[in-house]
Amino acid sequence: MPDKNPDKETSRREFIIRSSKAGLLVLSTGITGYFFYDRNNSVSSLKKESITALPDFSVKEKAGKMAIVKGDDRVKTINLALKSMGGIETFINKGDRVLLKVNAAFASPPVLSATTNPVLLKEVIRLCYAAGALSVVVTDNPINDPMSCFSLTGIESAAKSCGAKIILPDESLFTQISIEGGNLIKDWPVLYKPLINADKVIGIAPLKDHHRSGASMTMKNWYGLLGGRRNIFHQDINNIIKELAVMVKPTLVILDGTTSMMSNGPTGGSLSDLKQTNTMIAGTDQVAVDAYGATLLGKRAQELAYIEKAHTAGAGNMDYRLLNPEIINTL
Amino acid sequence: MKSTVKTPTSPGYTETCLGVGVLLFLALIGTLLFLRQFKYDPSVFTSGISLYEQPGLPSSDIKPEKILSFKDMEPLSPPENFDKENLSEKINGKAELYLSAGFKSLICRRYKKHDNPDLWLETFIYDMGNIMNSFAVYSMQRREGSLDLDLTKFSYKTENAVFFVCNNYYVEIVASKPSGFLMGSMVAFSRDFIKKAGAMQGTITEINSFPTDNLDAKSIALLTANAFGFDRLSMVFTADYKSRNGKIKVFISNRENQAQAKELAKSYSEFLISLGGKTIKSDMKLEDLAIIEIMDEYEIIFTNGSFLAGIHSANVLENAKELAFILNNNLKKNSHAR
Repeated sequence: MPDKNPDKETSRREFIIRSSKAGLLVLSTGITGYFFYDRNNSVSSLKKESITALPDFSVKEKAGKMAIVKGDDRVKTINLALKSMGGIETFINKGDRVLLKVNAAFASPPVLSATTNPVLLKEVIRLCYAAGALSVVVTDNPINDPMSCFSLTGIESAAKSCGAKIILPDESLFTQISIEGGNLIKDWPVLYKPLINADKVIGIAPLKDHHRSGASMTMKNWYGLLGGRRNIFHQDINNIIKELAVMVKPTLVILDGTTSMMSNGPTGGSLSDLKQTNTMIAGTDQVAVDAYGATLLGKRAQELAYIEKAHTAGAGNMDYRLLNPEIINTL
Repeated sequence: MKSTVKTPTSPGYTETCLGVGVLLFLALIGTLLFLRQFKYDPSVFTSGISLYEQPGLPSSDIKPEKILSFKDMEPLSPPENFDKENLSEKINGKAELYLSAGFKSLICRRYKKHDNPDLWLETFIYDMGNIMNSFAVYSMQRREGSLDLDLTKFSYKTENAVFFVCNNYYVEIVASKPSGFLMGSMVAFSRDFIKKAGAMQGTITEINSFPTDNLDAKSIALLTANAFGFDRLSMVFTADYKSRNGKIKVFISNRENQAQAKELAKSYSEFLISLGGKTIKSDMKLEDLAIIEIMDEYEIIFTNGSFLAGIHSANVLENAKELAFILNNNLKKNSHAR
């Protein structure tokens, strides 16, 4: 509003009052802005560390180890598989902090075998502690709401009952990563912080059919480490699985083919999608483990494009026979 | 003594320079923001929806609070709504199956038994836009060994789940475990849903043209795209037949008009020949007939009005010819009936 009397002089008192009002206005605006300020978002969008690789969690002297155990009792088969590979204590040292990357993708019951089996998870946690692990954490970035996924799959109760901690995929745990030579994982958010706080990483995946990639096994399990709008990678599913296999060098992977999802994966939904394939596979070569897993789905490894791609990229050996895996039959 | 501050009548040189400076600075910020938005990174700048929040409302006629209720059960989770943009946040790799079949929206909700939280189920109500699309996703996922239900013409159950088509809706109800109580609830819910959704109104006429002898009725499926590996072959109904010499697959696809059917028949024949198929001469009286031998199997392709039809991968040519003859007659009859 224009001043009616522009020549009017302002008194010192009036000046101080007006300045104080303006000051209060600025202050209140600042406080309001402070409350609306989204710290996490600004952190994730601005703090772009130039990370090109995850730590290597593999145990060098255990390279190329693999075991296949036939049986329907998961506790028995995983124990035999690990024993065949030298025992869990040859992978886990006293004081190790262990991270178990499970598949908790869907909020579905354990009976549907779309997620990591809680009985198997409990046994692996128990074995890690028995080998002297300082701590065991269980994590995944599920497709559905994380809290429901961990709870309804039975993974949360299984983990807690054995003294393991569940790490939910809080946004602050993700860091932008560009893997060397990667075309897809470029400046992409990865569930990084739980990984750098671990000494050993074990992937535990169920064996499933997958509508896009043909199968979901141990390599596809690492998809749960990705954040952001990762569904865009479904357009190039084979290459994203290959890049994940190159990115993660685990201590060990476990493929649970006790009950496999033969059709309508990865969600399934009906017990009729499942088949008792009665096989537990453990190994340090994720490509070899998946190559054998494919045969349980009635496929050849060559039919799954990502297995060949991962082999070519040097993530492992798709000819699992070359690893001379011990095959134990408990049936 | 009263001290004063003089209010100037017009801005001085310094103030003008300062004002221009501020405006230039604001213009610089605006330019930088304009340039920055071209480097938009969708992986970082998400929609702001928390991992624990539900995505936005659907474009569905179904109102969850009115339709989704189970006797002796209470909600275990709030309704979740998904559209084309975020369907994969619910069903991950299976989203493509629905998206390629005309998916519109999905509503899901979990319920548990009042006195036993281990007994719970989840409803998946897919709005596929029309009955052809809902039948497509229903038929492509049909479970072997399932039992037919009398809910609608397209409904069945397995040990722990119920699946059915009701007009534009494809519904799945999945229980946490096999249970008599849960199966009873799922079937009762399904009946209630069908009643409220307006019973079964649409029909799929192509299905009536499949010859009935030796037909495996549960095998009838609608392939929405890329049928038999040919990218131009979309919306193709298929059905399996048992014969002494193995299975025979029959197919029907209703195109927009006769000219399109003829052109597609020619194009599909050429595709098979490009893969090493060999044409076999025949005196069968079928429109645009092509019989092709490929990889020790026989393919018969013909048209009937706007229909492209035929036999896919038959072991014995005579069986395939017989079936093609009956199929052609059925198509003729059903075309006249329409």
